[in-house]
Order: sequence, then C-alpha cells, then structure tokens
Amino acid sequence: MRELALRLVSVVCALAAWTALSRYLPDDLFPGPLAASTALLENIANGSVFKHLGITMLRVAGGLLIAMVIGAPLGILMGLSRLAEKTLDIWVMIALAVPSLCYGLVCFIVLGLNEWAAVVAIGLTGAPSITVNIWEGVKNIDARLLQMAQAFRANRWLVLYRVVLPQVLPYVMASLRFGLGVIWKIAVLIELLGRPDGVGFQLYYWYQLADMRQVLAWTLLFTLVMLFIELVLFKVLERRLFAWRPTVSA
Amino acid sequence: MIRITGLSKKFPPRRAGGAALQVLRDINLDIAEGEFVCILGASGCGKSTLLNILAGLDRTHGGEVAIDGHAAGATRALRVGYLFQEDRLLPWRSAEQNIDFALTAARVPQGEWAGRKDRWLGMVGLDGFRGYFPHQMSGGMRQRLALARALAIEPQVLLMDEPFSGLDELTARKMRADILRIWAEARKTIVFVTHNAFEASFLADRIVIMAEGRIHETIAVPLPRPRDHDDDALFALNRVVVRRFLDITGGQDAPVQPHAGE
Ligand SMILES: Nc1ncnc2c1ncn2[C@@H]1O[C@H](COP(=O)(O)OP(=O)(O)OP(=O)(O)O)[C@@H](O)[C@H]1O
Ligand SMILES: [Mg+2]
Repeated sequence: MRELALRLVSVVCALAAWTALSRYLPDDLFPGPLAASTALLENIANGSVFKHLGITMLRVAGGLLIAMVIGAPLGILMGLSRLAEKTLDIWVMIALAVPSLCYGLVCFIVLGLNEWAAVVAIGLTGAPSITVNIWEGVKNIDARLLQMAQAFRANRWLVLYRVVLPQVLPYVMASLRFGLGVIWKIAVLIELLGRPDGVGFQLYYWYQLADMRQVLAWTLLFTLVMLFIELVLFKVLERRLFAWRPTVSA
Repeated sequence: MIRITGLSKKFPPRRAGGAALQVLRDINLDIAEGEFVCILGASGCGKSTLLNILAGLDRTHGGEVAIDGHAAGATRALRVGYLFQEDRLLPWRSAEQNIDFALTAARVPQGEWAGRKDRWLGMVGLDGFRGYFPHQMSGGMRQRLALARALAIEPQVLLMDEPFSGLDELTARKMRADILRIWAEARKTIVFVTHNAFEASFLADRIVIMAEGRIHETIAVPLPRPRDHDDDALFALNRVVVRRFLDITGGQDAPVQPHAGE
C-alpha cells in the first residue's frame, strides 16, 4: 500500500513538473499533459491508435519470437559447454555492442524495405541480451540438486521439468523482460527507418510536421503500454510462477 | 550385500600442474545384508565422498564397488536411498510435493503414495506441515523431511550422511529409535556416517573408523538390542571407541591435507 502511495505521489509530481515546464515554454514547442492526452484521446477516437499500435505490437511480438529462437538455444549451449562458452562469449559481447541502428540498416539493405526485414532486425537486436540471461541461468543450475535427482533415479524428463526448469525460469523471465525492453525501442526506430506505419512511423511523421502535441501524445501512449506490460502482465506472471520464493510471496 | 574392494578416489588438481587430492585410499569393506554399519571419522576424511560413490553418483574412482552384485547405481532392481549431508530439497516444491518427486523418480505406483506419505511424514513429525515450502521450515524440519523422502521410496539399502547432527538431543533420540525400528522391521542394510562416537555405539552392529581416507579399524558392537541410551555398557563401549578414534587420528580433528597423487 505504501509503495502504491509513493508511486502515485511521484507520478503526480512528474505531471506537475511537466505542466509547469509547458507553461514556461511556448505551446507549440512543448504542450502540457492535458494537450497531449486530448490528442491521444482524439487518436483513439479516430482509430489511428489501434492501427499503428497494433502493427507495432505485432512487430514486437514477432521480433521477440525470433530473438528467443536465436538467443535461447545459444544461451543454453553456452551454459552447458565450456567450449561453447569460450568460443561464443566474445561474439555475444560484440553483438551487444553493435548499435541497434546498424542491425536495422543492414537488414533493410540485405532483405529489402519490407516487413520481414523489420521483424528480423528487431529479433537480431534483441537476441544477445536473451542469450546473456539464459547463459547465466543455465550456468547457475545447482549441481547438488541434480545429484539428488540422480540418487533417486529420476528420469530425464522429471529432472528437466522439476529440477532444471524451475531454476532457469527466473532467468528466462528476466531475459524476456530485458529483451522486451530492448525490442520495444528498436521496433520504433526500425519503423521510423523503413516502414509506412506503426508508432515509430507516427512519431517521425509528426516530428517532420513539427507537431509536438502529437509527438508527445504518441510518446505517452507508448509509455503507458510499456508500463502496463511491465507492471501488470509481468508482475502477475511472476507472482504465479514464483509463489514458492520467499521474497516474492512475502 | 555391499562389497567394496580396493576403492580409491582422487580429485583432479584444481589448476593444471597442481597436485591431485587423494581422498580415499585402498578401502576394503564387506557389509552383510541387514547389517547396520556406522562410519566414524573426522571432518574431511572422505566419508561423504565414500557415500557418493556407494550411491552411484561418482563413477570416476579406482577399485570396485558392488551392491547386490551390481555396480553402484547400475540397477533399478534394488532401491538405494541416500540421505545427503545437506537436505537438498527442491525449494519450489512443498513438503508433500518433495516426497512426490522421490516417489515419481523411484517409480512407486500412484496407489501407494497416500499411505506412504502418511506413514513417513507422520514418523518424522511433519504431518501438519505438508503444504509448507522448505524456506518456511526450520533446518531440523528440513532435515527430517529429507529423511522422510529417503525412507518413502522404501529402499533396501539406506545411505545416511550425518542425518541427526543438526537436531537437538531429544529429537535425535527419537529419530534414532525410529530408524532402529524401521531397520528391524524391514531388514534394511544401513550405512550411517557420523562423527558422534556415542551415536555410532548406540546404533551400529559394526563401527568403521576412517581417517585420512583409509579405514583404520572396524569395531564390532556386541551390545544386545534393544539398546538403552543410559546403559552403562553403552558408555563403556563409547569410551573404547573414542579412545581408539583419538589414537588413530593422533588426538586431533584435523581434516586431510592435500597429498600428491600416488
Ligand atoms: N568435488 C570435489 N572436488 C575436489 N575435492 C573434493 C570434492 N569433494 C570433496 N573434496 C575433498 O575431499 C575431502 C573429503 O571430503 P568429504 O566431503 O568426503 O569429507 P567428509 O568426511 O564427509 O567431511 P565432513 O564430516 O566435514 O562432512 C575434502 O578434503 C574435500 O576438500
Ligand atoms: Mg561429509
């Protein structure tokens, strides 16, 4: 409860600061929260939010899927084999270091200015952070519990399901979370770069028209959706999955 | 039932070029079916290493270990229960579910689960804590749950690594009595590691004294059963065992020093 109150207070403060700042600056340069939210409501009413947010979400989901498909097996491999770890760790670091814009540019050049290229670029950007998290998780599997399972003659499936998965799951969740954070941002950038729709496209479009009211409205929308996923979806999921953990259930 | 011949165990050096750690040397021991053997030894002398090998968890050793004629861990025909030195419970499973895990692993038919859980959780006094997760239990409760889990698969051979060292004397006495009862009822073969000479004297048919990875002496325990914790003969035997133990270990409780591989 106290936590919630603190959060509310901080949100109110931020809104107040935004309002104060917008009073100080000319309206077309930096509109206040009220102007931005009315613009957002208008966009919702005329349907453009659903169209552009929807397509962005699809790209994010597709990108996340590709990132998982590439990132998770690599992470598992690196966690299990020292050879794989020693060979691949430098490449994972490089992949993390390359600016996300580069993945976008390369994909659009190689694959053409199409939907495929966008989703692949998003996936490639997100993959390394997923690899890193899962690699860490697999490395941290408690060998003593594996021994215990072996002593009871548990078969492979039981070991995987009851001993390995519960230990790796927190890292998978962390990787999803982390991956999603990266992927959201890159998705917007990619849309700005080479797509005729989506939240990123809208942001760029209104930016070119120098309509700050709309730019802020789309930014607000984007932030709200992110917050919803982070605070509601992930929280609920984690509470479900990790009820056994002292820190979460307490 | 258990036949150990020329068993040796070396852990590889931690760094290339370093010295290997010789933990067990030329261990020979025969344990008869239904026998209760206590292994007594100072910390670090290789007791847990020996049990790991008996449980079939470590196959990189010299010499031979056969249980009922099979290499350790090689057959399902004979159930071997292993109570580790630490509880090794699954933190994400409740008390009852931890036992379910063992029953599933050991392929105990579902129809027997309820009865077994009632019996063994009751014996260790945890019947009222079925829904508790390990982190909600005390260290002693976790140890008892681990014991119930090991017993629930009703093994013919039971390996126990200092199972009662974390318990108060009152609870420990009750558990010792319970173990002896189960042992007498089901004629299990028990290998019980402890560094408590009194506990060994109370429980064992035979006490094996280990030091620095070797078996130095085997002492038969002639006391009749059932035994009494306050029996004078038990105290007398305890004194003898402690004396022998101190003679062997040179009066110090020092762990093994790293030795160069032989
Ligand atoms: N996995 C391992 N790798 C390297 N050395 C090990 C390993 N496990 C045990 N050792 C070493 O083997 C020796 C014996 O260990 P062990 O656990 O068998 O002792 P113990 O007799 O059970 O002692 P305690 O009574 O303290 O439990 C110790 O010196 C320990 O450092
Ligand atoms: Mg030990």
